[in-house]
Amino acid sequence: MSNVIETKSVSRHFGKDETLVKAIDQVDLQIEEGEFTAIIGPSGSGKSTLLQMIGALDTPTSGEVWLAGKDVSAMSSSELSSFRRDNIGFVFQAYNLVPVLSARENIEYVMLLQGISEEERIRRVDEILQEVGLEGREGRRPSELSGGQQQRVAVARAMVSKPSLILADEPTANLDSKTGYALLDMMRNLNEQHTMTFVFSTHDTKIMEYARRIVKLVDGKIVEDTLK
Amino acid sequence: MLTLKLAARNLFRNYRRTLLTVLSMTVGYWVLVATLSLTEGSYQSAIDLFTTQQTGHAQVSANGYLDRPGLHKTVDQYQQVIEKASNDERVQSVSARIFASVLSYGESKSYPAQLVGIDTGIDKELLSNRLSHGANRLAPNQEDYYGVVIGHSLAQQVELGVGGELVLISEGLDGSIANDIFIVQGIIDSKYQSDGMRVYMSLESAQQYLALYEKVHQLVVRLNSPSVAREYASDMRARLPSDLEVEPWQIVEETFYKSMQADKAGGHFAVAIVMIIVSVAVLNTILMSVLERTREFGVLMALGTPTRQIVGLIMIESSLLAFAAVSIGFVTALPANIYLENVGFALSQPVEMGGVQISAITGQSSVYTLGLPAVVVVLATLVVALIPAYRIAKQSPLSAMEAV
Repeated sequence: MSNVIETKSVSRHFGKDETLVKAIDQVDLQIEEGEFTAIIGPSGSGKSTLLQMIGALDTPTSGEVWLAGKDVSAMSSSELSSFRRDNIGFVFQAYNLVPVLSARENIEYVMLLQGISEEERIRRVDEILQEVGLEGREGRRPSELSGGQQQRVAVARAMVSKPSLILADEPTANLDSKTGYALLDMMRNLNEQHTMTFVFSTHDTKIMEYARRIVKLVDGKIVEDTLK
Repeated sequence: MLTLKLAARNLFRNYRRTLLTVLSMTVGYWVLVATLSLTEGSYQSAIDLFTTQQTGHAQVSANGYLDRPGLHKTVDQYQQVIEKASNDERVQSVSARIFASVLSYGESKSYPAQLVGIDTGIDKELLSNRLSHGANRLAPNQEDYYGVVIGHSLAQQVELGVGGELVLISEGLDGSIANDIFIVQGIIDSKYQSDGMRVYMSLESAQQYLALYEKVHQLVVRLNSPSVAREYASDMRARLPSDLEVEPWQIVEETFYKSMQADKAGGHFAVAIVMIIVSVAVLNTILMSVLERTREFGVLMALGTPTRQIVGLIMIESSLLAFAAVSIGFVTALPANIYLENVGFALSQPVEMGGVQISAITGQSSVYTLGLPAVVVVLATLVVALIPAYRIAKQSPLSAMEAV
């Protein structure tokens, strides 16, 4: 198995001198294709910052981030934009669906950016809607869906363009525990069916049990890396 | 297509604000149309009145007459010249005029005046609406005395009313002393200040009085459209004998023309101020509508939407607003503008514009008065929309997503 993610001595610092905060400090991490990994840790441990750098949304203060064999730390903003579009699927804590688009249109959005044909888009959206259990709700706008349904749309949007990596930052934080577990079940099933790499952050001990590998961060450093 | 769909739906998302923005742009369009229409309409009225009453749209005279008028600088065989000048489809009419300086004498006082001989056929309407007393009768009476219409100031100076005998003394073309008695048939209203010291008489009586047989000083050409005056004058110069000069009204009455142009420049300044006010109002609403969606734009960028597409989205939204405002503005402003053009509104006191008394303000419907405001509103909107678009484009997806 090849590494989808590889960070080499990655650090992310904010402020300077007395106000210097080392959000991430010299982190080396390799995640292989098809993993279902949880990054855990208390609030302020650097989980979100690490995910943002892995997702090419933030640039490290030092070190390198390699995604799908490419050094994203050296890319320009437009290169990063194309790279994210084609290689990374995001699931955000607050769902972050486009409010004026229906569930189908939200799922279709990235494929439209990629220039995929209409026929192929329809086929893929129909397929993923079935997989995330949202058939019959594809015409609804986010405001007409429950939190759990919105997060399923977000997962479908992240997966449908077949990226090499899905990053989910606290995907269950805004959901009740039952809906959260159901979402994690679904994500894990999709990971098994599609051998797609999932990395998610959480501080919920029950949620982290769904992961096959757990990376624990404390004060910006990896203190534990467990493979179940 | 995706960008257009997003832009259109975003506009309906907060329809109250969209409505307010469109309304503010529409009001801006109306104000611009009203400002341009009324200023252009007023200028056009002043130009029409001035050219109709005084200069015509082009004038034919002997070389050097315009710079230094003189009794001897005449257009000879003027009927033949009228025939040549009229032989053009742009021409509405050509009338002859005679000018001379005279000494006028009334009951007990004498005063210098300007004699104007006019064609009572073509120029019969020239005096009719401007009289405060008497009638426009320039023909000789039963005792063979020619009638004259005189200016208000002159009537006061020589202490004459309608029916009074006016004695005019001048020099004839043949060197003789021209003197004769004329009967005051009408007095021009005091509001026509430029006519204050004039004595209007028929061309025939002026020719007899000044011994100017078959000769006049000016041919006044009225055209179907004032806008072709320069072109007509240029064409006519080539067709008429070289001892005659042909000038458009802009040259003949350069002072009047320049004062009109200066007034217009002031009007443009007013339009610029209105444009700035409209732009600030538009900037405010667009800035608000864009910045409150910063987080959403951040998500779109995180998903891989190129920055240019985000900028395009903001620009398309703004363009749609501007086009809606201009369409509504045009449909509603057009009938109002046509009403202004045809009816206008009367002024309680006439105002003077370039020496012409304007008693009603009228509008003008043209590509300029209705089209320029549309261009201004659309361009102003696009320019102000660039500001929030640029601000969004400069942000990273992460900082945009972290925006509150």
